Amino acid sequence: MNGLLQIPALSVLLLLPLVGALGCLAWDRRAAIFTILLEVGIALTLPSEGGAVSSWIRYEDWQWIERFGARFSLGLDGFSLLMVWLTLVLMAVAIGISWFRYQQAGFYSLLLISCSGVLGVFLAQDLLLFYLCWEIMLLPLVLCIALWGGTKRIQAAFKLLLFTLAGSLLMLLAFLILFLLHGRQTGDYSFALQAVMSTAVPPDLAGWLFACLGLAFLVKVPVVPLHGWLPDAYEEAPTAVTLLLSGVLAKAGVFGLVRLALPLFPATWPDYTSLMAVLGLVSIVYGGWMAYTQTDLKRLVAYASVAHLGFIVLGLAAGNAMAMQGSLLQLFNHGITTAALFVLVAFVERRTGSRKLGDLGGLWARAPQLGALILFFSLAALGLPGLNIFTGEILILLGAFASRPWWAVVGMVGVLLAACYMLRLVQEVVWGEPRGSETIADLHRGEVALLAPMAGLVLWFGLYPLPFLHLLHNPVENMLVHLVMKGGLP
Amino acid sequence: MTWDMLPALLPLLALFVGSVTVLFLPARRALPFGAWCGLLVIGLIWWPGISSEVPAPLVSSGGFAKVCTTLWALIGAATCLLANRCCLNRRLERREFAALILFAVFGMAILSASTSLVSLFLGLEAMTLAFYVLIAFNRENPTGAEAGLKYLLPGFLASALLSFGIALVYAATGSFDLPEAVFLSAAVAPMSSVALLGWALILSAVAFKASLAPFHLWTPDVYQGAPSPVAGLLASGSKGAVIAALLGGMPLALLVPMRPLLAGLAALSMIIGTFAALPQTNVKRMLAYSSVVHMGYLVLALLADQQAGIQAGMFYVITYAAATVAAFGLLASMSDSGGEPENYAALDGLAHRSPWRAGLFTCVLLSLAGFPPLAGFMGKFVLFGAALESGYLWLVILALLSSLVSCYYYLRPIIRMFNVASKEGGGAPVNGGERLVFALCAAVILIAGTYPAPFFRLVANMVP
Repeated sequence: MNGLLQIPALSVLLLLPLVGALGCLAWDRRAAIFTILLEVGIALTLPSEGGAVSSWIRYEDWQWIERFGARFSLGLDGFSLLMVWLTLVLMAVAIGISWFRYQQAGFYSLLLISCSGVLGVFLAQDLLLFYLCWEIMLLPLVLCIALWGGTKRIQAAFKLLLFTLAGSLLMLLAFLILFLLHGRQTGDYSFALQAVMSTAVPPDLAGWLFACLGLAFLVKVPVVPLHGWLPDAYEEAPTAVTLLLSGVLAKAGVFGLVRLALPLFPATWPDYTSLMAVLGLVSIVYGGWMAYTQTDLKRLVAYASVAHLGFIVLGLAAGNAMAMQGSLLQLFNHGITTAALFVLVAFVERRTGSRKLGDLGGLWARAPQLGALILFFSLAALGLPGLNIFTGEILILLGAFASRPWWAVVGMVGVLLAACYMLRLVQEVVWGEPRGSETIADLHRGEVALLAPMAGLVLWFGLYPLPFLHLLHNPVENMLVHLVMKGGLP
Repeated sequence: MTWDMLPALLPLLALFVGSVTVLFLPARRALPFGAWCGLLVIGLIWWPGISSEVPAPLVSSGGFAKVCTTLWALIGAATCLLANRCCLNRRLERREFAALILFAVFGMAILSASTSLVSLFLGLEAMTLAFYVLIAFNRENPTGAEAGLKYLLPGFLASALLSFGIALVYAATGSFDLPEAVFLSAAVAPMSSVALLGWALILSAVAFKASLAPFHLWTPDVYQGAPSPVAGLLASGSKGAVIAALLGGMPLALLVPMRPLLAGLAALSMIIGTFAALPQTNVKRMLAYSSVVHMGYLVLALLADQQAGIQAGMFYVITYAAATVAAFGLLASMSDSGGEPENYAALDGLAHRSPWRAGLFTCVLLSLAGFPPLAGFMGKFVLFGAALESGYLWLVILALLSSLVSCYYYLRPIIRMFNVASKEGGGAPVNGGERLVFALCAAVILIAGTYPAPFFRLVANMVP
């Protein structure tokens, strides 16, 4: 690489959406499309620039706040690259699906600001920067819900805000304590992740700090006892926000767990694996059961999403290479599939004016393309072999079986439940008596263009996930080595 | 007192002379003159030719005093610029207004630079005297007169407490000199309990001025009744000066028995302020209670280790001042002859009528709530870090909880602003002076939040 002509691609990637947000306000909402296309362009050129063998594909580091040893440092490895791709794909879909529904430029500029925050979370290698981005990611979406949501929007927005903010303030506290601890031990007051990782935290304190971080991240996922904000927020939010919440922000929660909580407190991790696994299993079963009992299409998909996220948490708890890889891959898979389902729910609602299962039926007969796509993504979501969710699920279940067989057994129940609620959805919406108006317009070209790339990704990850598993190989290995060395694994 | 002390006293003299001169100018020149006078003072402070080798008695001229005086002069200049519209709308006498603002800044400068209990008393009284009049400046407004009275009575009480406290401290230690009196009462004073009583009385007097709970009861009514620019000056300047005096000259946390008192004041302010702000539907009253909470946070800086405390506290004062001046300035800029849009209902749909104002107000409120990447977050972060370093974990947790709850009352007006337009007609256009102030405040809020290094360098110079 030419040192002089090197473009700080990660910083550009991070800051461009902010410029785009300003452009939206100052010029026109079309700036959002240009921004997201540029972003995708940059993101696609990233892997070719560095060797995927070393631990970082790219690393950028700037001076930021000297007084507190906080640096503007961004690092990209295989895992974060996958997450960046997911973010950009979903952001493009979110902008696309809102285009004809919301005319105000402010909506798009808020989405772009949030995009910047999410990218920052996936790239930051500095605790303060991470926290900053973590908050920037959330607030614009809360405002989107509060301003453009459904009838109970204010309530839903505040619920989401208070739940997640409570978590992130705990995270801030934990970061501050770590910062001071590290400074006292080494004399070097720094927020750099690499530096803070070497801090020796007293075991009794480490438990508390891990709990703070874990709570902050698991609220965002959310796992079951912490999911109080989810049904209202998902239901009231505009579709774009719903799919970002489930497709990207939930992933940020798991990402934080993997990237910060685990490496910072490796020795505490074994004490919490059982709890994590139980939380994951409870989410799987409870989410599946709730999804089965819903009559509102959007809520059904929301709870299905909870159940799937439970698998991911379970895979992390299992703690072997196979389950970990499955979990990280599943982050991407789940993001694509759930987002596609939310988009389809929005399409159905636009055409029939209703999301209630009782009002729908017989879509296939009247709108075959829409019906076919619902069927396709539902099959993906229930874990049909050959489609993407299956790949992740099978890796997670095999890994979990290797470490604790009964975890995998309960997990299998979740797979069965998934079949129940997904087939119920298909049966009541796609097949059955046609209800509602006689004619329903089928998907037009733009809508197909929105979903086709996602369907392509579903097939690709289902049939040939190897390149992506390869991408995840190094990060997972590095993390496991770190865990083993620090006594995090037997 | 000799002539070679003149350079050290020049900024103070300029403020005083300015406040007298402005009375003899034509009315339309008065407020701009006030603003220029503020800038002149800043020039006098930082002009390299004027160096003060010989320290003046009673007031210091070190780095701390320089930055503080600069800050108050800036806030005073901003207040002059913002007051123009409200003086014209309500036919207030502009000359007296400008003179009183300059005099209040004069008092703040003395207060924050005081090195002696005498100058502390003088500064506090000079500042308060100007505010008694400024708050009730609009005689036609009944709430204004009420507010003036509500500031006057606790003010007298505070003065009495302060003078009695000073007398007790002097009796116990035999010194008026500020850091020395504290050290003496910490270590060798023969009558240490008398000294402590004295310090407690001084602290409660100061808590009145900084509106720390339970001495905060005057705050909401005064904020509501006072003209918005004055309320802004009161919230940012006078409270800032009081806190600065505590930070710079009175390391009260060195006296071990004072620590629980300070911690109690902080905790009470956070709790009471937060819960009282929740049900408010008037922006000015909400900002009043929020200022109680912020002052509670600032007490953490007093408790922290002195060096870190000064830096964190003054950084916080800067960020808080930028947000508060902008918030009250926005209210003032939207005022018409009928009054200011104080209620949340009056803000409905502001984003459609006046998008820039709505954008700035959003930034200001989010900064007060402490959302990154705005200045308020950085301020809280530094402050809580300093308090944690000194081991006040439970206070920091309380502060975090109160900032969590505070999001509710800060977000409510924001959501109203961006709601569907309910009112027709735009607000009056922003005039030049206001635009300048808003741009400056917005710049501080954004820069201190995203790249605070220059501000940290500034406050690092303030540590003696």
